[in-house]
Amino acid sequence: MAEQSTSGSESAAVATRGEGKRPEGSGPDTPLSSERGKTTIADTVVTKVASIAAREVRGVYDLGGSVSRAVGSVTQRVGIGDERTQGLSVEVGEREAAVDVTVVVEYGESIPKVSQAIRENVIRRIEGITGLSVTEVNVAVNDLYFPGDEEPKQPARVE
Amino acid sequence: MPSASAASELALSADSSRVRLARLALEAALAVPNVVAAEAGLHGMRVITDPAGGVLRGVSVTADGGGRYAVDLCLVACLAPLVPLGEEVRRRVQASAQRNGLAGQLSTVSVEFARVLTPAEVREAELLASELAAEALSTPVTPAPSAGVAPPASAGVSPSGLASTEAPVPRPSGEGETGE
Repeated sequence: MAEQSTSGSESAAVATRGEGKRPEGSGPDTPLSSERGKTTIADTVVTKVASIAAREVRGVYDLGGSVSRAVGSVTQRVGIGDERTQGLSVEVGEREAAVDVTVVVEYGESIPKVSQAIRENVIRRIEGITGLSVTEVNVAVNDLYFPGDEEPKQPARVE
Repeated sequence: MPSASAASELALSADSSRVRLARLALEAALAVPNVVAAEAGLHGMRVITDPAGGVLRGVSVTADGGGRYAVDLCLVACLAPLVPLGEEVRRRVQASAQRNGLAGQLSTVSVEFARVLTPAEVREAELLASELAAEALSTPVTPAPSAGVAPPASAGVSPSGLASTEAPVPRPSGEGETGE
């Protein structure tokens, strides 16, 4: 299914955050940096917060493209993967962050509304938890989920 | 076999301001509510050898000029606002340094949050830690390793629930409830 990107095009709030401005470096006075020391947020933290925030939105079935979900499923089975990182790419500076998220939307939901809700929730959560300013959240809708699409569970080979 | 001079050097370094600062910074940070653990961070850089007790994982202390030291902490926290949490860690480290007469040697306290854990992951980590503790208690005592050798890292818990290679230092139980 064709990927639909909804980068920064749906509201004033989005427009100011989605014009291709990527994170800046450090500045003089920020909540994250003072003369007493600085607070640094790792990329993995922003990724996790963004993932949880995106999944909180009604209409989001899963994160990630078909390939990343397939690979994620395998890596989780062998215990080296974390489903929370799939479908997410973040760029984190000392004061700002930018997020790219790929989602699967449930059939019947309005893609623009879901995208907008994702963007707002991701921005709210990241800014609330990490103190970083989010410059852009690009949402790519990779697939639609139809109820009943799940693969039937394999019967147990042993009892 | 270490010589007498090497042994005295070791004793001196055990009491050095740098190691004392590292020790108190780590203790103060781990006592802050919502701080779950400390870990060595990317490339395992935030580790200090503590002659008194193996290694201090999750802290590095570097000379900052004028006899002062900069403290860097690498922490694992609960999913909570991290900026105030970082400020609280900084405040407690400075208060602890003040109480221990090291305030004049402390310059900046930088805090890195390497990971955050959801409440479910925190419960899982606590469960695993208690299982490991019970297992350790039931294991027969073996001869202690020779001096200077770091004890094996306690198993940490990654977000996926697997033991991680960079083991976080679990917060001692009962800490973090009282303010300083």
